[in-house]
Amino acid sequence: MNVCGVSAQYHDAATALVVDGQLVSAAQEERFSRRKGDPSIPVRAVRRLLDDAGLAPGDLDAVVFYEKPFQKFFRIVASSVANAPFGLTAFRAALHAWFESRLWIRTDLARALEVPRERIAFSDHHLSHAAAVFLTHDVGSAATLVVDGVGEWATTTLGRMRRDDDGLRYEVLETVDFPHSLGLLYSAITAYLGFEVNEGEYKVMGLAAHGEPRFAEEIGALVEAAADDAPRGTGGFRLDLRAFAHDRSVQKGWSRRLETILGPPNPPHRPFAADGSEDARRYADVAASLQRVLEERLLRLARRARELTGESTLCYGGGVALNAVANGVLARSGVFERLLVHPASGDAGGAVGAALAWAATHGEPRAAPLGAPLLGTTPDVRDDAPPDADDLAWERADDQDALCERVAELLADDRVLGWVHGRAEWGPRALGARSILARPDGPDQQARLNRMVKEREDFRPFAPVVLAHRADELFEGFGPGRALERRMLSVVTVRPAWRERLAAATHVDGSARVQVLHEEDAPLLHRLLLAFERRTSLPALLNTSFNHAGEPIVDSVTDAVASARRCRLDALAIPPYVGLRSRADAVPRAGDTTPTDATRC
Amino acid sequence: MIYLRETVAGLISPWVVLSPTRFARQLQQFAATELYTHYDIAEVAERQPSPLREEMHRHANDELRHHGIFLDWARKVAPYVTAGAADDPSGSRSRLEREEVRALVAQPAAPHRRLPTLFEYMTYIFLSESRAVLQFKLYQWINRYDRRCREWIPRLLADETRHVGYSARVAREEFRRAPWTCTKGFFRVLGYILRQDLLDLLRLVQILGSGLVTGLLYYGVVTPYGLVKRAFGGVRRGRLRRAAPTGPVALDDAFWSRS
Amino acid sequence: MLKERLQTLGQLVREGARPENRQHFVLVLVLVVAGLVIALGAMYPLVAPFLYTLF
Repeated sequence: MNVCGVSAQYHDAATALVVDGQLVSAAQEERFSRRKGDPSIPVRAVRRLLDDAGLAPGDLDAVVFYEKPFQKFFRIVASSVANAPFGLTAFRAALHAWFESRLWIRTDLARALEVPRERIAFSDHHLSHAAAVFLTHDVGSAATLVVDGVGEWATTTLGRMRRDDDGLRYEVLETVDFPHSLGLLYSAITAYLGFEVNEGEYKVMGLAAHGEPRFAEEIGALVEAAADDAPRGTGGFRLDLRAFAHDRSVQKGWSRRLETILGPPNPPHRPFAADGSEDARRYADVAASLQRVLEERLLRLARRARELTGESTLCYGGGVALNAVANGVLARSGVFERLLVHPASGDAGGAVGAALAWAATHGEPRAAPLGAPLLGTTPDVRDDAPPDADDLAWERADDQDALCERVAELLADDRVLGWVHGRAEWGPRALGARSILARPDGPDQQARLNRMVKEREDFRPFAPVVLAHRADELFEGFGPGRALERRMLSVVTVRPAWRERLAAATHVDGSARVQVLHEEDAPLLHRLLLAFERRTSLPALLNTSFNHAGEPIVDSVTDAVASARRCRLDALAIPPYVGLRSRADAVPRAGDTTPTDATRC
Repeated sequence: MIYLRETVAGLISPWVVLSPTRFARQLQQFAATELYTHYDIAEVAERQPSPLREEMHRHANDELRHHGIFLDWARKVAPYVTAGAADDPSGSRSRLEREEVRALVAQPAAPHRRLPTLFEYMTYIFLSESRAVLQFKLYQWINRYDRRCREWIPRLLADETRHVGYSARVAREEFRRAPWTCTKGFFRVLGYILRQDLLDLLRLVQILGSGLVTGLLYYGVVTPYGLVKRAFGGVRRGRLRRAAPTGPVALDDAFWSRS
Repeated sequence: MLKERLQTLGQLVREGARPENRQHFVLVLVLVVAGLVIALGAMYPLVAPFLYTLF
């Protein structure tokens, strides 16, 4: 039985392929269309995954869309009724969007993917999120908590999932409906801080470490939580809607009242200067306060889930589960013995959940647990010729040891290097298949990479990848079983003795979003880390996603070559080849002059 | 005829430039056009031999840079117009993005469509770029009171003029090789551009018309309906439906088929 | 294409008539009629000028 899950129309369109109940591949459309956050029907991704699996569209038994669009439409109608006459622009835009494209998703999917209309099925948004976590882990039953912007009606769903021989059982215990939403609260304040919604949330998370939560009380008052002993079905929280406008406006998610409480907003897209000015401090404090309130509300929800279900495992999903800092707090809180999070917990992950849930309810409920989330495509590297890029001088390594030694030598020599090996990662984190690697030490390394390679704000740290057997020596505060840290889904603390040696990967508050690397997850990268450790005595590398500012993570060799050129990386490793750029043309070191715009493409 | 649209657009540009909202939206549209052109040219360039490939890649990179320039400009003109909506709760996105969704569905759905010849493509670039040059020159002249237009447009014009030059040169070379086929190709491109212009005009009618319909609908039907419903406690801003369903979800065929 | 659009709108109306969605059924019907005009205008730009002169 072949099932294809699809998420599309909003942001991060993606697809997943399930064959005989097993998740065989998954990818986001942006990797192929090269448009960041591409929301369009993932035609390219579906074709590619089907080709790789040797299947044709006609072989698909079902194409499962990750949500129910009609339900969403009814919610929008209700919201228009409740907000009239103050929501004309939102109403107009919604009506156009829905009648010009969204309502026709069944037809569009059938046409674009060349499958009969009858084979298109529809999941439920929060069911897809919950199933994406539950069905990719080896658990028989678990509590589920989904927190995101909004699905059909619900923004938060608390439930229980169980599998038995008959299939999948799902019970909804409590929901919070739109417009009360932790995801939209976070988005509204993300926009208030001048960052782009759906793109800047993790920047807010990074900024939070620079501030003090002095507005926590004010923001907390805007998210009224139900009493801990509220009767079943009445838990959750409510937003003080007087401060928000996300249900009325498509441009601004907050009202004047929020500005009265928190002060004037940061104009969108103004470069963020951690310059110690009063405004910069206030914005950082707002971010810190928001993060504090979010963590507190999530903890309450987790306790509620524990109380209602009595389960010891929590499957936590939805866009808010991308917040690695909050994930760490939840994991360490001990409310649940196990906290499980899907590597692509945003809407992209809905494609996986939708496909697996359909398969589970059609006789195939025993999907194998997902190991390292490497579900994408394999780069097309020829053994007899290096990749086509004449700006790099290519060397061919005789074997994997020689390759690792050579790459480790380059890294030890402070070169910044692109690394493309094996199947691409599933989800927003680079886990060593499409990564930019560099030394994690050196006081200027973070600023150098932020400015030259990623062209992003100085306050944003990079993530380290560390050998599993030495992780405890460098970091503390791991969650149970270090399960989240294995996929870079949580944040831990760098031990003070190591902060200088991991300067570029340590945030201002001493935290780091670490990837704990086990040999079985990425054997070649593991070997590289060992080689690097031998040369430098550092068991960790700086590991960031392989993409230039504004572009998606690279997928193919061609993307990697182009992106390496844009980033002006010193070297590009695509085993068995290593391409070297001449020093004059590479990323300047600290103290070098900043290049002019004319030198960038 | 083919330059009519740009002439009109250039002449009415003060009406756009003087309104930050309108100006920012137009700049966003310019930015999107530049981005799509970048993708398009980069894709076609991959199929060309050197040195044309490098020349086309340079063009593609210019378009990408222009995309950034227009976006930055739009953000400076009207920051909140260009800011994203909070997770798009109303289920809406910019018109451009929606159309992009449709275009992407349509494009791979017709994989066997005839690809343009190099001459046709270069003629298309030549006509499009020369139209852009005309529009920007008019823009610059008419809005010479506006500092931003004085500063930015010359930077773009220099690139656009170079694009006109190389596309005309390549098209000429191709024409010399096969004059009769190229003549047919020229009219095909001309027809294509005129058809696109007509469709754009009709789309404008659609936008204005549907804007009117939704406005009437909102104030004539939704608002009175909403006021009555709210008066009788049927719905509130903070409580859109009476009760959210809880309990076991029947994951049966009916569940999967309902959208 | 038009047949598929009408089929989808039929499904939408049927879904809107279900007890859990019935709350604003009248309004859904009105929106479906207006939405059909928008959908037709978007599908057939040549028809759009004639459609909107109706209003």
